[in-house]
Amino acid sequence: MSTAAQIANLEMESGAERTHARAPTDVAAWFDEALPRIYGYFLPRVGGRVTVAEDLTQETILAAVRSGHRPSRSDAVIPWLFGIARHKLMDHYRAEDRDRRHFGRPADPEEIESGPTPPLPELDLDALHTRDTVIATLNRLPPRQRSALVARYLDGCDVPATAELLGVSVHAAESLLARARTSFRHHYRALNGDPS
Amino acid sequence: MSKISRNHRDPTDDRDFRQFTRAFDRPIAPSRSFADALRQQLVQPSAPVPANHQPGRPPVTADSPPAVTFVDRRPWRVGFSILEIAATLLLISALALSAYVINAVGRPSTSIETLDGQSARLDSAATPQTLDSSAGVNWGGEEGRSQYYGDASVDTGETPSDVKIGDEGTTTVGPGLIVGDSWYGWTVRAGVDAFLRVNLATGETVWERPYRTWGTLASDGKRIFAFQVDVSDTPTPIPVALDMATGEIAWRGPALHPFATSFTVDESSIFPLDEGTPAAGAVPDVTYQPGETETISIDLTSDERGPVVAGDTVYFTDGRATTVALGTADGVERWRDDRSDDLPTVFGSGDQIHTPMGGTIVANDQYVLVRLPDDSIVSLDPATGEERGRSYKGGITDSSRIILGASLRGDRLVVLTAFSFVSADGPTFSSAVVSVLNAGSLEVLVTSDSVEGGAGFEMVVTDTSAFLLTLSEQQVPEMVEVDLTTGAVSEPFGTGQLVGQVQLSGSGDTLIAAMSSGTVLSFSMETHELLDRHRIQGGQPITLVGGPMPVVDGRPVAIWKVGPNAPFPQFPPATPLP
Repeated sequence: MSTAAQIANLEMESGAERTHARAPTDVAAWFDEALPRIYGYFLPRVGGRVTVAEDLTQETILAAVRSGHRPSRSDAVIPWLFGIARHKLMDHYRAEDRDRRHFGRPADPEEIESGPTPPLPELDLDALHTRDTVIATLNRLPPRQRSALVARYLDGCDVPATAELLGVSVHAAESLLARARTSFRHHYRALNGDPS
Repeated sequence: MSKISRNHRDPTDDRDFRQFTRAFDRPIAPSRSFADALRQQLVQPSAPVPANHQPGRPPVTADSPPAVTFVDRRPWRVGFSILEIAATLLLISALALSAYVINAVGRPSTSIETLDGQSARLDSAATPQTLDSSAGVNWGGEEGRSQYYGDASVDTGETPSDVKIGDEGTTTVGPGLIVGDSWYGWTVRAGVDAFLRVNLATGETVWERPYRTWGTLASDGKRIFAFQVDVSDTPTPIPVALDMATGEIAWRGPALHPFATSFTVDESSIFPLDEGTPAAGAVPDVTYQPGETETISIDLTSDERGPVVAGDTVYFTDGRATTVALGTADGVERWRDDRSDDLPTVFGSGDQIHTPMGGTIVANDQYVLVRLPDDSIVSLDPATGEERGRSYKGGITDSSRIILGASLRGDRLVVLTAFSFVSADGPTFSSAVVSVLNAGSLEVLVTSDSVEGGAGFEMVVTDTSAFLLTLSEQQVPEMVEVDLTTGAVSEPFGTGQLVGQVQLSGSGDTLIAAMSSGTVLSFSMETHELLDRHRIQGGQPITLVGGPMPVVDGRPVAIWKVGPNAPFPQFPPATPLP
């Protein structure tokens, strides 16, 4: 089975658990359920920027409506939408990255990494402050690092699937993830005022 | 440079990150206005959804989505119902008609629109790269692109079928290469590091080898040249030649310096090279002196550097701009230009700190030109490797400009420079200037007028002109033509026709602009008139912008990823350009 198929299955399995059965061919049947889910997927992944999340949500739903690939099973609609949403998100990260991928980028002395990177503590991710800090930290990362962390950890893709989403080799994905974790830990502590 | 080794954690120790899995998937209701507007595009009006929530807040209904009905009982809505239903029907009809037009012309899942109603020719293939050194030479990468693919006039021809590469759901990424007039492509399948040869006419995989290559590809018609990556803590690029017929490695060249590109750089770190070892280093101030560094594993990307073939020689330049000339048949090293001791590991320009990105190289039978990491250009003798001339950027225009791209045309090197600064929206270029240099002495022959609104990011060079993608005062893309003899800049053209991100390429007298919207426009280089418009539908055309469109056998070639539920790359129907 291809990695992409595995991703699709993963999405199908995870999404099916929380999907209500409705007629997939009727937009009205899934729109109101899907809208907050898709918007809620995008918002924390784009740094809480409402307009960006709205744009991506709209693109996702319009793409779904206009596509001819609607799943036949009603419980597959939401996973199908999440699949589209994930690709829209990765495209968004790629577009951000393309704008930044130029040499001559300034180095900010205030954000220079230094020292070892102890692991993150166990976080109370139901706490508003913690969630906001995680989102803000993600938003501070370069788009490629952010896309890697989102795919691997927030979305739960395995490393080969993450590599496939990013369009890189597994080795490159592992390398990127390692740097992204380090960077995230530094930024997270900095945002929390932790000098370590 | 001081280099301090650190106590590394297990690079795969990510347990602290696994707590994030599915923690940010909770439903959040968008604003009422947004939800209503979107709903009105799709379905009949409904009751308002719950109010917006701030990012990071717990979901409104974490376990059950907001309940929404489809009947708005507010009294003033009744009067609008008929109008809304009519508008909805109109929208649905328009979408249906659009889908019919898209699918009725050509083949399913793709579409072509032509200005004259005739079927247009537009083929697609793997990530386009340089065809050969004589047809087009580029200093591309992320510092700018300059493209020109072939002198063949774009012509009509047989229409190939839709082609899909790989199995359903297969993801293929670059680098790809089209060789000559044969419909073959090479690509690397993501995730499995397989190097494929694909028959672009059928999609059939001719052979597959477990190679990991890096950078762009080149060919002499018999072999494919690439950097093969030795997977280790310090990935070492090794020039290799693959037999086109079998995929076997014909020869291996000398191991070269690793690349460290800005692709891997974030806001807080740069990656200078310490004696050839990629290292993450912090630059504390504008003295450009690296602070403590850490040995890292660099991220290898597939779209940066690669070899160039000229005659019976293939040239590779590495992460320290060491250039080697190898025989295409046997890989024997003929000469080497090694300047790694003379080049800075970090350097600055204005208020920016640059990272060394290795060299970029262009060559033909008479000239080998390497852009060095310090933004200077050196001209080398292709027979001996001896330096013929060197020009620092201050010798081209002024020292505050950076080189965005260059193209070698015969004995002239066309260089695009511009002011660059980093804004909140990313790198921005302005005041672009095109300079024509003697490719041997690097004497400046012509300097163009300044293109003040120029993004200066894309350049197509012909024997007589350079076409630049610029931005109007309203910040919309447009193009100008620069006369390489006089330096005169034309009036802008394409204004209002170009939208979004644009990738320029061209062949013969046709200028091709691929837009992120999925539309490809062709313009007459002579009259600047819009010749044709092709709409590619059914996918994520963003990858159209990821590479130029080479013209192979008179046919522009493109590739893009189609939707998440469809295989990609997928080929649109071929249609003739006028």
